[in-house]
Amino acid sequence: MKENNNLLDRRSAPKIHLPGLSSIPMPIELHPGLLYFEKKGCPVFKLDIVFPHAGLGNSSLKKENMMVADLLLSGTSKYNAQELNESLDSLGSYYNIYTDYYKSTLSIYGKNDKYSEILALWNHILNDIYFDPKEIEIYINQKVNNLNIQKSKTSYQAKKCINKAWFGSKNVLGYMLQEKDFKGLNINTLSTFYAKNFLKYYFILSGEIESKKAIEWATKFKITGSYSFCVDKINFEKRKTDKNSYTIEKSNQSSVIARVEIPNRLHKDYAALSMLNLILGGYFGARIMKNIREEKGWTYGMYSVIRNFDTIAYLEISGDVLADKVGSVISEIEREVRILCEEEVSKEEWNMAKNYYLGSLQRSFDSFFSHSDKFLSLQETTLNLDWYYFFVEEIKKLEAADVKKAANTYLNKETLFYTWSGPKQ
Amino acid sequence: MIEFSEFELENGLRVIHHQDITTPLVHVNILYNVGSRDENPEHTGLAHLFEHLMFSGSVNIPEFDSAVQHAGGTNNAFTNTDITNYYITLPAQNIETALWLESDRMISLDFSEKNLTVQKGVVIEEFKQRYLNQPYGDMWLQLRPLVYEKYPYSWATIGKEIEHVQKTEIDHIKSFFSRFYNPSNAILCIAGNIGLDETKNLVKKWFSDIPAGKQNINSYAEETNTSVEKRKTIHADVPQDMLVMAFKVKSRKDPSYYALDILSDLLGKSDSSRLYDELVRKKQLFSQLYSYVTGELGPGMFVIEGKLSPGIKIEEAEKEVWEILDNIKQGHCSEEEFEKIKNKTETAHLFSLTSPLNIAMALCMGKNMGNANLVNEESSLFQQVSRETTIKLANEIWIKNNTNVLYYLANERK
Repeated sequence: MKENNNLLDRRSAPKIHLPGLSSIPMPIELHPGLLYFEKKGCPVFKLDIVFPHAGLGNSSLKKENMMVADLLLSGTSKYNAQELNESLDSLGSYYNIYTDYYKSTLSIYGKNDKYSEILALWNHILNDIYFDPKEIEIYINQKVNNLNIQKSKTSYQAKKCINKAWFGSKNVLGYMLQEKDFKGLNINTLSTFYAKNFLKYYFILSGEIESKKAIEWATKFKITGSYSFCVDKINFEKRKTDKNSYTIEKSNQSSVIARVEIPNRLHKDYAALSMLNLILGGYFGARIMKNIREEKGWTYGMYSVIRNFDTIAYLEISGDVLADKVGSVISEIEREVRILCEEEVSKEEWNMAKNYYLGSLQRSFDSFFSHSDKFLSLQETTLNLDWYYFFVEEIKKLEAADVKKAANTYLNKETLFYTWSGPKQ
Repeated sequence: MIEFSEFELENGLRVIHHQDITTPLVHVNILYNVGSRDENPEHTGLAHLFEHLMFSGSVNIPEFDSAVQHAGGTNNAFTNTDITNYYITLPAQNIETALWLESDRMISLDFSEKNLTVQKGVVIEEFKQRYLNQPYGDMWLQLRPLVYEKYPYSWATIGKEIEHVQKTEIDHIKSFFSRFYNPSNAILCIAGNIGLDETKNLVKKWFSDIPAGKQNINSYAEETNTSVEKRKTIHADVPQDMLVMAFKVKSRKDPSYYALDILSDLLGKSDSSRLYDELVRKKQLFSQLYSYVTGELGPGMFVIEGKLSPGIKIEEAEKEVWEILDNIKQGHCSEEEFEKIKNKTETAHLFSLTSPLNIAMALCMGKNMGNANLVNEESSLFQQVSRETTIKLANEIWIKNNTNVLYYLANERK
């Protein structure tokens, strides 16, 4: 220890103030199909173009929505892929595309002074798209090669096993694309899916763009005022089979996944389940992390998350662990679940978890350009951002007994569903 | 323009303050001038293992993470070849918790055998997860010793091998702490919803009693300029061959860095870059191919990395890469191409400054390089790079006796 006889007394912690949500940014509808998050003085913008009919739920097992999204810049009748990429780069703009069960979202980033030029280019692309066979060939090559890399990873194989068992192999979420799916891709499949599912979209604009200009461009894009998706309801098959593992002998680690069905955020127990998830494995101080990482050193990280669908949800625990510890890790997960069912969380742990959760909700609204992502993440349950006011109050009202009750209602050894991948145990 | 203020405590702690009243949060970022280059070549991975131990309790506080979480905050850290950086984000009204924690672990850690044993286990699992259990995961373990001969960059931050992490003992940790973890060797930035006066008062309250210690002088063996091209071939259970070419370049602090960064973007950052257009799109020799600069404070690397398409001979692929490099060296690139890269750089820079945590880190990094205001100056430094300077630089670095080539070949599948 450094020598100084006049050190400040640091034995007591400074006083803590409970974090809270002061204000949640709400988007303004400038025009039907044009939502706007405004930030004064921001020199850059983000435009999310949301395709609510182009989710995985609108695709066949071949996941056409993902393939179309990946190939949006493959060409138009006027420009080839190289020219389109060159033009976007020259405008200093970049983009990314995200797809999930309900929708595809194209996020475009750029400087305000290039707004019109960037939107003119994207308007041309979306209205005059041409899936260039040469670009499709390159894409297939890249995807097949990437698939071969993924197949050698334990995390991929464990995920493949659990999705197949959980959703069923005939559900788009239960199926992982194979080489033959990519090799069978052709221009007709892409063009047909695009024409049917990608021509209806709405905008979420974030930044500071003059409203007249924003409306003018939205009108040129012929956006629709419909924000709702149109997919079949999700059903969990949870088919127990003898193939709940995949052996990769030479692997240095094993991947373990555990899932349990729970109600989604529309349910009255959701706040208690969210706290349960947090305490079990939802943050660095969670019990699984303390047990398996900090006490035993069996993993670099093992966390749990809740995945919401429109009528249902699941809680998933996953991580890469010491190669031969699959059985031990599963036993420890079951032990932690049992403790949550049998014992109330101590006052100290409860306060820490609650404060952390309230703080994380506050932090999640700190980054301006993530507001649209949060807005979209609620779409499957058709909730608005002001739901967070309600949710924060629900969290504040919770008591440790509520979490114990939720654990007993939804979690036990029998409802947990496991898969793993790694060397033979 | 990022507004900030700087001050220094008597014990040498350099402090930067940036106020942002639009956020309810505050970010406390602390950079220690110590990285993996400060390790003994026979005992590597210590700087990174030490980063883990910084969360295992300090002299007065048994649990670091719990205290942050209790205050509604979150925290993390990273280590690289040159620095170790820690940060805490929490509600602004709880800032004293962050300063209490950071100051306590700057005084001393809880050097227990149990903590060390557990964290060695965690780091070994990280070693496996990131470097051994991924296809091509060991690339940096292979490339660094090929490129560097004398400068202590010849091992990855995680360490040369698991055994180096395994053999660490408490005395190694104590000695590392006393050498590098003190106010003189640290830069603290507080960014968020807090005023300058309050920042000064709180920083003085929590840090001014800590003995100064010594600043790391950052003196290292000079890297030699080899006169031969270096090559290495590895056979592994990977799905396809990979080509890696690395050229030694000057430090991140050298003025040439900006031209170098533009050159790497022009060559291979996006789908409109030279490498992608010619060798992925037109000739389909590679399924992925890109280039980047590592940006270390010591001698860095310009890296070209690509996975080959099936059936393509790696020698042929390398020859084609050289043709692209030679083409640029001969001056075949337009002013428009340079403008394109500069425009993208400008946009990326503006987006990075929308995050107060990014600002806090950038201010600390700049200060560690001698100028906190780099965060405001770098955009213009990129814009000033000329086509001529960049082509001249390409001719200096893309030469055979500055080339290090790694052939990463897939084992025959049974």
